[in-house]
Parts: sequence; C-alpha cells; structure tokens
Amino acid sequence: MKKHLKLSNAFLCVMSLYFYAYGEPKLVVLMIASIIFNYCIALLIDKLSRYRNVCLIVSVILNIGILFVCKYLGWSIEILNSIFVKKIPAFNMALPIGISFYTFQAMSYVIDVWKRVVPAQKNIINVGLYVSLFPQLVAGPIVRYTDIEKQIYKRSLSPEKWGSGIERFIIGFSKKVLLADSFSVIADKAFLMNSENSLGILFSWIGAIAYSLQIYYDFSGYSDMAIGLGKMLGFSFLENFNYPYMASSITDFWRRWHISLSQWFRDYVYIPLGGNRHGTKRMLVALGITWLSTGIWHGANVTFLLWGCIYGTLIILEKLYEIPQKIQAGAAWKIPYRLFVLIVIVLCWVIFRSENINLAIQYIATMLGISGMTENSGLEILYCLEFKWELLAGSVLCFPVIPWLRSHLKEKVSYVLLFLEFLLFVVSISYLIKGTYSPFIYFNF
Amino acid sequence: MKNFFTIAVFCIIIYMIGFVHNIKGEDYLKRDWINLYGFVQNVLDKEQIENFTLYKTSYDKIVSPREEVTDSEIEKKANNIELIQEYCVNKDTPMYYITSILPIYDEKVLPAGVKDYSKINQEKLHKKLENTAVSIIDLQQKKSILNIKQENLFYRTDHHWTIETCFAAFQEIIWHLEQDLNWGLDSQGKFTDLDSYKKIIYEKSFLGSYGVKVGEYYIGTDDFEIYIPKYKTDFIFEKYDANHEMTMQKKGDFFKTMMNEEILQDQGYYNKYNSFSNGGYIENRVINNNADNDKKVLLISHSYGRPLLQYLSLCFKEVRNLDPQEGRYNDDYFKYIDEYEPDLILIMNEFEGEITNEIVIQLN
Repeated sequence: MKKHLKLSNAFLCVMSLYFYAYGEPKLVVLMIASIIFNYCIALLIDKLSRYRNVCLIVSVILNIGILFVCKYLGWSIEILNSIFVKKIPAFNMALPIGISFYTFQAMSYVIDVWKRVVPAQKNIINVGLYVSLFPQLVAGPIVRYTDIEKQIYKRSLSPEKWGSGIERFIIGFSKKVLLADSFSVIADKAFLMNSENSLGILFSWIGAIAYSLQIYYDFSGYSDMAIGLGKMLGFSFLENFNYPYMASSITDFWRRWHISLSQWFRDYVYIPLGGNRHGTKRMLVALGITWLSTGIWHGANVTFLLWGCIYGTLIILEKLYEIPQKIQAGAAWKIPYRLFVLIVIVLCWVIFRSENINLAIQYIATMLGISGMTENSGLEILYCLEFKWELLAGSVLCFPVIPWLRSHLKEKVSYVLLFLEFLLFVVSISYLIKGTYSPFIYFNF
Repeated sequence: MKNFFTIAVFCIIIYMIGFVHNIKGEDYLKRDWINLYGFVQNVLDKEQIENFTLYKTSYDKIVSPREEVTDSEIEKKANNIELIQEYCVNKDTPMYYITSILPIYDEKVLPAGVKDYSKINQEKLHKKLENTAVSIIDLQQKKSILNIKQENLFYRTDHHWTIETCFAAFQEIIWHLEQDLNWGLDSQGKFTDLDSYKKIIYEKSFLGSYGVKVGEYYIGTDDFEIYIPKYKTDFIFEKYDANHEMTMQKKGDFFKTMMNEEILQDQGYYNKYNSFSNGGYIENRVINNNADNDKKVLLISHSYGRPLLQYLSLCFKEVRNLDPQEGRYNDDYFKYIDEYEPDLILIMNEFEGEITNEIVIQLN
C-alpha cells in the first residue's frame, strides 16, 4: 500500500472516531472495543484453523450480546416483569448511535474471514477504518468488508468523482431537509391526533402517506449523503435504495428498500439457515426467522416485530404461490397488484411508526373507516395545500426522474440542473438554520 | 494530491458544522438566511409558519390563533379578576379591567381549516365579568377602535397594536374614565385630539416578533409610525429592573424622554417597538411636570402598555407601568399597590384574546 494511502486511512480512521465521539463521547469506547475485539477474533480465525468455529461462535455471541444489552435488555426485562410476579430491576441505557449498523458491519467482516471469502486484516487501522468510516457510520448503508477491502488499498480520487460526490451529497441533504422534514410535520400531526382520538379518516390516509414519504426521503437522503461523502473520499458504496415505491411486489420492494440490510440478512441469516435449497418447510422456517430478525433489528418494540412478521408472511405467500411471476405473466393484474403492494407498504409503515400496537391498530382502523372516527377535522385541506409542492415533488421523485433527465438532457442544459442543485443546497441550509433539531429516523436504529 | 482531497472533505464538513452552529446562535448572522427562507416560503405560497402556530391572513398579516379555553378555566380567570377588584374596593381605589382588541375578527381571514377561539374565549369571560362588580372598558366596542380598518389595528409582522390603535385606545380610556370619575383629565381636549400631534413615519423599518421568524421577504416589513405632541411637554422617565434598581432616567419633552431615538434611527435594527418607553419591559415610571392634576395611576399590562403609558402620562401627574409576564415584574402586586397608593388601577392582561393568569398567580 502506498504511503499516502496509509496516512489517509489513519487520518480517516482517527477523524471518524472523533466524529463519533462528538455525538457519543462515552460510548465511543464501546465502538473502539468492538473494533479491537473483531480485529483480534478475525486474526485468530485466520491463524487457529482448529478453533475457527469456536472463535466464530464467540464472536457472534459477543457481538449480538452487546447489541442485545444496549438495545433489547431493558425491553426484555419490562416484558418479563409484566409476566412474572417477581420483579427484575429495570435496566435503562441510552442506545448508542448506529450500534446496529456498526455491529452488523463488524460481524460480516468476521463471518467473511471465517468463510475464507477475505483474508483477515493485519492492520488494525484498516479494520477501524472499515467499522467506523464516518459517512455511513450512524445510519448505513451497511457496507460489507468484501465490498470495501480493495478500496482500502487502492482507491481513486479525481475532481470528477469529487464533483459527483458533492452533487450526490447535495441531493441527499435536500431530500432530508426540504422533503422529509416537511412530511414529518404532517405525519407527526396525524399520529398525535391518533393518540388523542381525534384523527379522521381522510387525515389518517394523508398522515400515513406523508410518513411513507418521510421515511423514504429521510433514509434515502442519508444514504445519498453517505454515498456522496464516500465518493468525495474515494470510496464507492453500494446503492441502498432503488425507487422502492415502484415495486411490483412485496419481494420486489425488499429488493429496492434498504438493500444493504436485506442483503445482509439474506447472506448471513437466510442462506446459512438453508435458504431455498432444502425444501419448502426449511425455506419457510428460514424466511420466518429472517423476517422476525429484520423486524426486531429496527428496535425493541412489538410494533417492529409485527411489522417484520407481516412482511415475512407476505413474502412467504408470494414465494409459495409464485405471485410475482403470475402477475408478470398476466398484464391485467399488474397495476392492481402494484396498488395493493403500495397500500400494504403504507399500512405497514403505520405499524412501524406507531408507539405501541394498540395505537397502530386504532390508526389502521381509522384508515379503514371501522374505528368510528370518520369525522374529518378540516385540517386535511390545510396540510395538503400547505405542503402541495413538497407532496408533488415527493411523489414525482419516487420515480427515476433525475436519472432520466440526466440521460436525456444535452450538456448545456445539464449545467442548468447543476445550478438548480446549488440553489437547492443554499435553500436547504436556510431551512436547516431556521428549523429545529430533526434527527434522521434511522439514527434510532 | 489524494490526501488533499481527504483533508479537504473534513475541512468542508467541519466548516459547515461550525458555520450552521454559529449562525443558529447569532441573530445578526441568521438574518440573511432567514430572509432567504422567508422568500422561499413566499414563493411556495405558504400560509403558515412555525409549525402551524402562526398564519398569514387574507390581508397579509401574521396572526396567532388561539385554542379554546374551557368553561372552568374561564370561571377561574373571572374569579381572579374579581379578587383584585375586591382588594381595590377595600382600598377605595377605582380599578378598570381593559379588554384586548382581537387581531382575528373573523375566521374567514385565516387559511381554510384553521380554527381560532379568541373571540369565543373573550365573549365567555366578558359574560362572566358582567355579573360581577368589575368595571370593564371594552375597547373592542369603542367607536374610535371600530373606525379603524381591521387590517390597520395591528402591525402586519407583529402582535402589537399599531400606534393608530394605541392612540384610539388611549382616547377611549380617557373619555371613559372622565365620564365615570370626572377628574378633569383632558379639560381642554387637546390631549385626546389627534390634531395636537405630529406624525412621524419610519417607512419599511419595522419587523415585529412574528416577522423576524420569516424575514423581510415573506410579507414585507411594516412602516413604523409615532405621534409626537405638538404642544410643550416636560417629563421625567425612569426605567427599573427586576431588582427594583433604576437603570435609566431621562428628563425633557415627550420625544426625548419616552422614545429611544437611537433605535428609531438605526436602519439595521428592526425591532422598532423597543423604542417605546425606551424598551423598558419590567417597570417604567413617568412623572408629568406639566400635569393638570395630581393623580397617580398604576397600569398593569403586557408590552401593549409601553406606548399606551406614554400617552396616558399626558393626562396624569404620574403613571407607572408593570409588565406581569414571566421574567418581568413578578413580585407581590398587593404590596406594590399598598406602597404606591395609586388613585387608579388599570389592568390589561389579555393577550390577543388569551386571558393570562400572571398577575393573579402573583397575587395569590
């Protein structure tokens, strides 16, 4: 490795840790411990071939154990206390930012070394850089060591790449500040009204759609910013979203939404459990476990568990009855099924966003007009008119409009696009300065 | 070259974090960005700001609609006002409760779907007070106020009365008091005659408390107008802090003692309202050396009282103004009344139709 790259990696690693420490001054120790532990265990797997399985099991138990303590222990104790008479003392711990992301990255590195897909990294700085690399550290995409290994040793930087990184960063930043934060105002109001029993049928749909748009632009905006920053530093991260609301089926949706997470669960949970190579029963079990895990990965709440279960069930049904293939074959069902998929996605986001299962049921019942709350408050028109441009832009940009424009516009016109992006950036800064604290949704995971 | 890119990325990020952080903390740095934000809101035809708490009316004024107050809350507020009244009766001091003028007179001026209960709340309270011994000066029903166009009652970018409204309120208060008390407050009629005043306009110079949230290009700025007596005046103005320490004393004519000329002249300073009563927001005292009587008045009011104090002081020997808002004058009001022994107490604690509890809380 060239000297300048060694220096660059060391600098990036230190600054990434500093970046994390800025937000989590105490819990950065946990991340450093995770880096050291996973670096050592991967070396042991590489060196001690007799104990490599034991090393892997220890690594998985410890990684999952830490994640469990930080994320799920308090919740588990709450559940146990509600079931049993004898009370266990409550455990409250602030969730370290991005722990689910960096733990999964570290685990994938160790598993890939165990699978002999990649050699163990000799230089701890490089493992540290991989785990803590700041652009995608707190909310993904979940980068695989296999995808980034070569880039640690050799990556290219050019003004063109830099420019395209800046462009991507601006798009992500604008998505978050201009669109996601606007949709959050509508969604927050709807979910608040639901908890106050004052939500009407029309506003419940507007709120649910607004949340669906919010979570998409919030998370994909962060991913764009991460990919853009990565480009500016010479890294190429894989795409995390591919216009998910254009999905033709639930299975297709999960190929387009949070791609890095779906692939992680596919490669490290579903396939090791047998995947679809050992008959239908085994496949169903593997799918069930994978989707329960996906749900619970998002947080310690029954709502996430239910959300994962619903997606798991729907994907199982699609697989069993080969629905996507049948829909593709018969043109008449394409559009109705797409609509069905969109409605299911929106309903699932309601469960995902709700504070508890009762509120989720109440919200969905209102949407379906069976909660008794059918009276509209008059706020529907107000909120829709107020955010008409954002709703319009948000709906249009769910489709690949920008790539289409780029490929069809002549070079001169594309400069206009560049100017518009600069304008968006400046306007986004003004929104940021004016606005209140508005963290990314996936910071909580 | 390649390290340069890496370092440059960090420098840009650190610079941007610092840049946004600094701007968020400093109002003067924020101004241009807020102006841009307001301009974008205007272009996007936004009718609400601050997360649906402030709205643009059909005649381009920013207003803050009020939530409905429950009947029991209204009852409590009415009882509290009655309590003060009883205290004043025991001291043989006349007390008047001055109602507020409402900035939202009709829900139709608001964007569709927005509810405002200020009128309903006010009506409910007044109904309760009508059955008590409390003397009310209902400004909302006074001719001088009714003669002002609704859109001119308040600044477009602020929650305060315009000087036109303030002067009309002053006229009506004096006329009402004179009818009740017959103290000869304006025997020659010059104090309440608008022709006795010179109008000075500072064009497009005022951006009020609502306007600063969206800058100059959302609905624009307000003209700032003041009325200065044409006749000879001689005052002593004193400003006090929360520890009852005098922080300013001015002697001279109306303009010199009451108005902060520096604020009026400073083109970069938008909160011109602070020029009234020299920006005194806790306790202000004004002694009128040319007064026709020796009456002392205690005016307990929100910031609406600052310009009103200036005009009231023309008709009395001494007027003191206490602002009961939290963090302002929050001491014992009964004790203050006992020590000051005013001849008249005026209370004005409704805020855009919201009846505040501050004085009562402090009295209790």
